[in-house]
Amino acid sequence: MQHDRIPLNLGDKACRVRFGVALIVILSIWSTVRPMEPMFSTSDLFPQEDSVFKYETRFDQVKKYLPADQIIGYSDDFLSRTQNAADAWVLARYALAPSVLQRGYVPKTKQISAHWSGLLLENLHDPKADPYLLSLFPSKYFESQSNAPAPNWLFPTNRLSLIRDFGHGVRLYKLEDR
Amino acid sequence: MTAFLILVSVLVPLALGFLFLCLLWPDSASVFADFLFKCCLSVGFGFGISSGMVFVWLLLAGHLTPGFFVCQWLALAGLSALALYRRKQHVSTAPVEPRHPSSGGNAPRLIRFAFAAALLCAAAYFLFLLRLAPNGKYDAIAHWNLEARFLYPGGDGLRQFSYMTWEHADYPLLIPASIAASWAFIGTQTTIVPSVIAFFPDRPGAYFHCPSSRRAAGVIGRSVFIGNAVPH
Repeated sequence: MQHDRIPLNLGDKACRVRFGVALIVILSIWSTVRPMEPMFSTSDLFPQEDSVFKYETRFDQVKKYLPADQIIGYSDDFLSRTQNAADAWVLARYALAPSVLQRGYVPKTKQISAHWSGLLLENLHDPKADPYLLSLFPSKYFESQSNAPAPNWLFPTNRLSLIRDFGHGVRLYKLEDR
Repeated sequence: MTAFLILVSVLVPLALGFLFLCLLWPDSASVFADFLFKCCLSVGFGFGISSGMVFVWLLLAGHLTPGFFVCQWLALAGLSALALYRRKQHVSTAPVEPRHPSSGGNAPRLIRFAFAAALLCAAAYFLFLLRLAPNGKYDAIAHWNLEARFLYPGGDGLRQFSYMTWEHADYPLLIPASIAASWAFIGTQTTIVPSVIAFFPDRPGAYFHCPSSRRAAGVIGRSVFIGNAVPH
């Protein structure tokens, strides 16, 4: 009499193949379904506006003042940053591309020096004026600061002449030669 | 209209990759032999060829002009002609070989189901992430799309590009070049293009581990791979 059920015998090649296939199938579905957890736990499946788009609009006016073929000095007020988290420097570069920014007011290389514009862009953040900033940046960025420029990239205030204040903490300066 | 242009701008590189693969494929009896597997590989090949063309064009012309797209279409026509010629040659010289019974799409149902389920989950999750962050996450903003914004504009984009300090050589410029080419084709800078390109699997190397003659293994590879393709 023949048996209808095939006993699980891992010594059998066909059985090992079935076991392997089942394992791969389970792993492939699990690896796809598992990251979907936030989909089911979020209360806001359809957010109204993206913070990055909002952040880009703060540079709309200053863009017209930035030369396309020269490099602009940059400073912001974020003293610390988290690895792989959006920060002002990354977002400013993204918003202002193809204008080239370089942190600080001193050209880093000879090539940069040759194309240095002498313009300095200051990018300060106030979450009270722009509440969306709190959803864009880690909250620790706003702790123990009062919108003071980062010391490492501090502009020499005695050599700056303000070209224009564009609001939302965005200011464009010209660095005066001595 | 924009959606149609985006589709064309993405499908042309894919078609280039597909036809290039058809020329290399050992079994050239039919363009559609191992179709799904070729489609998967053509993502890497297609965007690779297309972005390589972008850089050659930028070196020659300075920025992405309509001439680039004429070249792209000419390359597509040339590869189509070569693929057809190769197929004709194969049909006239090679003896008719009966196809292996296992290559007729007899992959176990379980694997097909796993592939379909993984694909649907990945697509749903991808759309969810896209809705949350249309500009993408950190890498998209700090690298891929930023670099594409330097390559896209007219004027002296390439020179400005050289001013940037390159700290991450592990982010190759093939994806930014593909995005920039699509933007240039549709004539505007939209986040939909990088989103569409991001939907395609970004690790085609995974497929190389799947023996092409074993359809089942290919399907497993694809389903595992779709799991990997969910954007980070």
